[in-house]
Formats: sequence, C-alpha cells, structure tokens
Amino acid sequence: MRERAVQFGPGQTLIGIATPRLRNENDPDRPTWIFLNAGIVNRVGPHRFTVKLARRVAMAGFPALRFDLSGLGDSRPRSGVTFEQAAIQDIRDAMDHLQHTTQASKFVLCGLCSGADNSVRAALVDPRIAAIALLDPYAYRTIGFYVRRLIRQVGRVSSWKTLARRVGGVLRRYAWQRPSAGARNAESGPSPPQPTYDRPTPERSAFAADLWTILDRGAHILVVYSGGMEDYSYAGQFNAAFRRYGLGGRIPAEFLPESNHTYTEIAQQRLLGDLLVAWADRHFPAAVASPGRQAGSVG
Amino acid sequence: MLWKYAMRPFFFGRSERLLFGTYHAPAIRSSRPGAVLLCNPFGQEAIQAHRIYATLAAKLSKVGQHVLRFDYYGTGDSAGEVEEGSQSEWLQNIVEAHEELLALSGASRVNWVGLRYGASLAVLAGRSLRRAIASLVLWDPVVDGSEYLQYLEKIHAAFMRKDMRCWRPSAARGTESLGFPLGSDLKSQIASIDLSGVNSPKARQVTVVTTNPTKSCERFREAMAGWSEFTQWVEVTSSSPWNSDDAMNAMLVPMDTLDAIVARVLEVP
Repeated sequence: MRERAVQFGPGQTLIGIATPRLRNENDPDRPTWIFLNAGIVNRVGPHRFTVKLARRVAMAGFPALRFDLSGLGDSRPRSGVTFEQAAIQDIRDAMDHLQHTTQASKFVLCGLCSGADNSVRAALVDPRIAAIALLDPYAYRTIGFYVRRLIRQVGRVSSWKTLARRVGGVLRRYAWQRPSAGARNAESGPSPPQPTYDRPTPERSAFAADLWTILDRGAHILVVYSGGMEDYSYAGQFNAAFRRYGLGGRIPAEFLPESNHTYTEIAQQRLLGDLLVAWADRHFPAAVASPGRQAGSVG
Repeated sequence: MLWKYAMRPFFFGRSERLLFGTYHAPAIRSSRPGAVLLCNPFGQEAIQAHRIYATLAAKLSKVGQHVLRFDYYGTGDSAGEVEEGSQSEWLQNIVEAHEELLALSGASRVNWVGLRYGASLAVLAGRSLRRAIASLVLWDPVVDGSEYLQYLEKIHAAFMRKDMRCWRPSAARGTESLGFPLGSDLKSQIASIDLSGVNSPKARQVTVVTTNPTKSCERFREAMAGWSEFTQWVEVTSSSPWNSDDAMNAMLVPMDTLDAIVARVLEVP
C-alpha cells in the first residue's frame, strides 16, 4: 500500500494522505472515503485509529483520504469564516482535488464526534457525498435510556424515599419531552433536555430534518454509537429517539458498548473497521466479485 | 534556497518501508543557518506532541532553521503498523531522516530534538553517527525503559477507567497502551533502555530540558557529568502538563519549553 501526501485547497495549504485501494482498481462505482478530524486531533486520529480505518477500507477496495481541516493538524486556517463554514469548504476542496486527480465522483464521509457533525453539514450541501458514516453523532435520551439508568441506580439507592424521588424525576422529565402526534420535520412541544455533551446539540427535530434531507436525495447514512457516550445506553436508542420523525429503521444504528468514545482499544478499532466495511460493501458492492478476498487488519 | 511553500509533506526512505516527513523551510535567511530534526515520542504521546512539534517547527523556521519532523515506521502517517516495527528500526529511521534533512537543507550544522521516548532514541541513534551533530536537545527523556513500560500500562488503565463506566479490558494487561500494541519484542527493547548507563552520543553539545525531574533523571544527570561533551541541564517547571491524563484530547502546547529549546538551538556555535 503506497500512500501519497497531498496538498490542495487555497494556496495548497490543506494537507492530507491519500490511500489507494488495494482491490477492484477499476471499479468507478465504489466511492472514495474521506476521513475527517475528530475534535482537534490531527488526521492520524485518536490513538491512530483514522490511519487504520483508511487502510482498512482501502484493503476492501475503497480509496481513502484522511486530511486536516483548515486550522487543525498541518493545515493552515482560513480567514474570515467560521470553523463550520471553513469545514464545509475544506471538504468540498478535498472532493474537488480527488475528482481532478483520480476521477472520483462519489464520496463517503466518516467522522467521529465533531467529524460526524461536519459530515452532516457537508452532506446537506454537496450531492457528491453518497454516504456518511457518523461515529458518536448527537445522541438524544429516551424513556428507555432513563429506565436503564434508573435500573443501574436502584442498586445504589439508600432508601425507598430516594428511589421514589428518582422515579418521580424521570417521569416528570419524560412527560416534559413526550411528543404530541408529531410527523417528521415537525417540532412538537418544549425542547427535550439537552444532553450533557461538550458540543452544542441541535434540537432533535432539526437533526431529524437534516438526516431526512440527506436520505431524500438518495444518500446512505450509518450511525455508530460507542459505550463512551454518556447519553446513549442501549442498542435501539437511536430508533426510539427518532421514531416519531419516521427515521426509526431507515438508518442503520449500531451500538458498540465495549468501545469508549475514541476507540482506544485495538480490538474495538478492528470491530469498527469491520463494521464500516460491511456497511459500505452492502451499499456499494464491487462490480466484479474478487476471489480470494482477504479480511484486512486495522490493528 | 527558500521553498515555494513554507511546509512540505512527503514520503522518503526505503520504498518498501516509507516514512512520512514534514519539511519546514527557513522563513528568513539567518546569520546562523542550521537544521533541526525532531524525533517523535511513542504512541499516544506522539499524537499529543503533533501540535507541539508543528509549533516548534514554525518557531525554528521563523529564526532561519530548516526543520524536519517525521514518523517512525509503523507510526503516524508512515507506512506499516507498530507491530511491524521495532526499536532498532526506529533508531535506523532517525539516521535516515537525518540524511534526508542534510540533503534537503544542505546545512552543515544539524541539531536533534527528542521528546520523551524520542529523546531516548535520539541518544541511542546518535552513537552510530559517523560525524558529530552540533547539538542534541533531550526534552524529558525516558531514562529507564522499565519504568516507562510501567507508565504506559498505568496510563492506559487510568484513561480507560476514566472514560468508561464499566471498563472490561479487551486485551491482556500490558499488551497495548492507548491504542498502540506492545509486543513482547518491543517491550524487551524498551525495557533495555537505561540512559544513565550509555556512552555519550556524537553531539558537540547535549542539553536536557526537564519539566518534571524524577529520580531516574537525577541518575542520568550524574552520568552525563562524565561525558566529554559540553552538557547543560535546563529545568522549566512552569510548563503545561501536555501529556497528562487530563490533557489527552486538549493538545496543550508548552510555549515556555519551546522558547527554551529555540534559544538553545540558536546558542549552539
């Protein structure tokens, strides 16, 4: 696998690494993966997991690019725009570069945390993005979340009085956030409680509307939640949280309870890589089956 | 020669085991031209050091130095995986990067800066040079490899316990640290590090910058007293704890330490 250092964008100041695919070299229908920064960590990714993921998808027959958004890692900041605006332009510059240099026409964006947020923003405005894989995107609490938390806490309560107070608190919160008969894209009732998350979380209805906009133009979405997300605690939580918006079952939602937020452990990094490739293979199957296919290691 | 772009990412080295490097051209023509090679720490510390080294490289470039930062084989953006590399190969990588920097810069005055495990590798690699470098700056070097392995194991468990409510390790204890595998060969090579017992590297000057002096550092200081080269010990106690557990995703840049290193590089005759 011979990777290339690439420079593109304004004044060639965006920097990344392009990974060629190892199989299905002449399959134009297979999109190029673009991996985005997680928080302020450079393109290598937390615990180098972005390098491993890029090589994992390349081994499965998808070219990949990991690069630093402007102002992160080795890429220079853009002036006069917000970080969010700059991120969208950076991603479009990356796609322009790949389109020009490799004739790629379809792309999959993959990002963790803020990288997931930027994937959604870019997919809303650029139709070349055929799919997005969101790792720990915004999470929204549900009645199931509170019930599970309560069950965990029951073992720790010191008295029935404490338990009653906690049950009452959960019921009050659920009543507050319970929707009216809302259809998709429709805001209903007061805002749900904001998760204790260190990035601003949009209203659930706004996030649902964004996801629908992306789905409606034929793009695919995968969401993967780790066990490190404070506001996500069971496999069906995404579907439950978005059922009233008609998204339940429309977006595959995976839950990796043994993984922490940054996929620190090598076994969890491998699991994530396998999961991403399996999803991509389903939506973008190879034109010609390759005999002797080998599973790649991301470890 | 000044490059068209202040910074250039590229791959170099043996075609089957390519290394990733980032070259920073001097931003000004200096009366004290020279070149600086930055040697990475290991594992998660290397990721946390990325911003620190990028900042240091920019500072050095602004005072007229050529700078090369690079990733060892199997680390960062370089080819391969950690388990395919070894400490002995990483020592060779430092020499390869040194030769690349000589070719890029044409400089005759070359300095090496190493951080943590990278400082230890720089000391060991510096012993095999044919020609002495101008100076070697060792920033919080790993003096005792066995102690360092204990640290790697401890910080992994501490981080995971803090990050996960009910952490169940998915690998045997001591076989990985914060996403980086620790194979038995690598562990035995790291365990063999004892800077207090090594001969001096081929550098005209050696400076140790410490932000958190330990007992093993003191042993190293005593050993350095016996070296023939000019040695200096600089303590920067106000420095930000860039590699602490709390700073795992903060990317702190200890500017006071960087300023001390830049000053030291410029002082070297």
